[in-house]
Amino acid sequence: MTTNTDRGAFRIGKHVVLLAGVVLMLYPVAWMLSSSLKPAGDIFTTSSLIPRSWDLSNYATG
Amino acid sequence: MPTAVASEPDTQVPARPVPAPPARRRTADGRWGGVFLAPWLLGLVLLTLGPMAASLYFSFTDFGLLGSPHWVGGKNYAELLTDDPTYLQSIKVTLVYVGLSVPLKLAIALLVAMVLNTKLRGLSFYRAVFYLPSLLGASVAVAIMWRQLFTGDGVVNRFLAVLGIDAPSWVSNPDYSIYTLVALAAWQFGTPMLIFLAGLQQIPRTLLEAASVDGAGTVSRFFRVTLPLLTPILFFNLVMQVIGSFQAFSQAYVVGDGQGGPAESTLVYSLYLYKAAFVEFKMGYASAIAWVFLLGIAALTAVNFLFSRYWVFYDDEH
Repeated sequence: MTTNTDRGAFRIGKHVVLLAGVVLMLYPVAWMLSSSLKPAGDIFTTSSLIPRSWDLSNYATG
Repeated sequence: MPTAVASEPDTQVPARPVPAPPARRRTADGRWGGVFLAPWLLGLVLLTLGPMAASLYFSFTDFGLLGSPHWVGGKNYAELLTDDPTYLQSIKVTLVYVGLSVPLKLAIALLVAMVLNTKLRGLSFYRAVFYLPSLLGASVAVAIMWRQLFTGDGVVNRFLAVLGIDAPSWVSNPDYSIYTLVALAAWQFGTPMLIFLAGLQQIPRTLLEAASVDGAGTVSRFFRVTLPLLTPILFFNLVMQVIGSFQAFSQAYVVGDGQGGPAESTLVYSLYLYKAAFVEFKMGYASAIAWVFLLGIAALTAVNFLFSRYWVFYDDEH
């Protein structure tokens, strides 16, 4: 027998799993986006997704 | 005055014969059709069939890009199949890659499609996000990013370190490097997922409801109703993915540092073909590799179709 709370928990669980999937899907894409905004030297030396110094020159010259 | 049609009032759509155009106009139509076809036909002959014929010829010669080709008969093929351990290695790598990545990719695609086929808040958001990696395709940028994720101090290992696992550098260890390529392929499961989704929506709800009423649980509903009705879609995806994975090149080129390294562990077939042609300039030999490849994929696809008779279910069959 499934009760309403069971179903609610199941629904939330489904969202948790899906959101974990979303992170897996999006992290590399976000990494790529953040690398596009970093100076070349920072791409492989800093792991933070938020650039230490913003550099739009990749877009200007690319 | 209508004659034969009017005497059959029951016929819903009167079968009125379309009058054939006069013969002169038909040939003129054909001529114009030919004119409009010409650009495509020209492209096919000059850009596809011509080079294919040339490469077939080169595969029997010792052509080396410079100089003129000399006929050597089946020597390239003989050397390829009996006296080239690197070639055999590339076949092994390719089979491992295809054998792992295709089932994994299809399983994930089907699973996600099943989940995204239910009523769910944020459904279109999830669908878009799960398709996003596939939009990037097999580009060099993605491969570089992937390589970076799996290096010794890459993101994956940093994450594993948090969990207390001391992992090796995935891309520079010959035992694991191929699996990073498999993971990359599995990550881009968007296209088969979309096709599965379309297929799932074709399955009549009534059948699933009837199965529920008869007492079938989720698992048996999946294996007895959903999966059989989905087999044509599964088959299509399988054929496309097998062919696509055999042709994998740029991922292996980047992750393997242009060499199929480390220790030839990511030397997929197309990469070896490329190296033979454009690194060693053995054009004749590379052409032979390409033709064996073509025949191999064609044979495998034929086997695939042959076996499909035993497991693919078409609704209109009797």
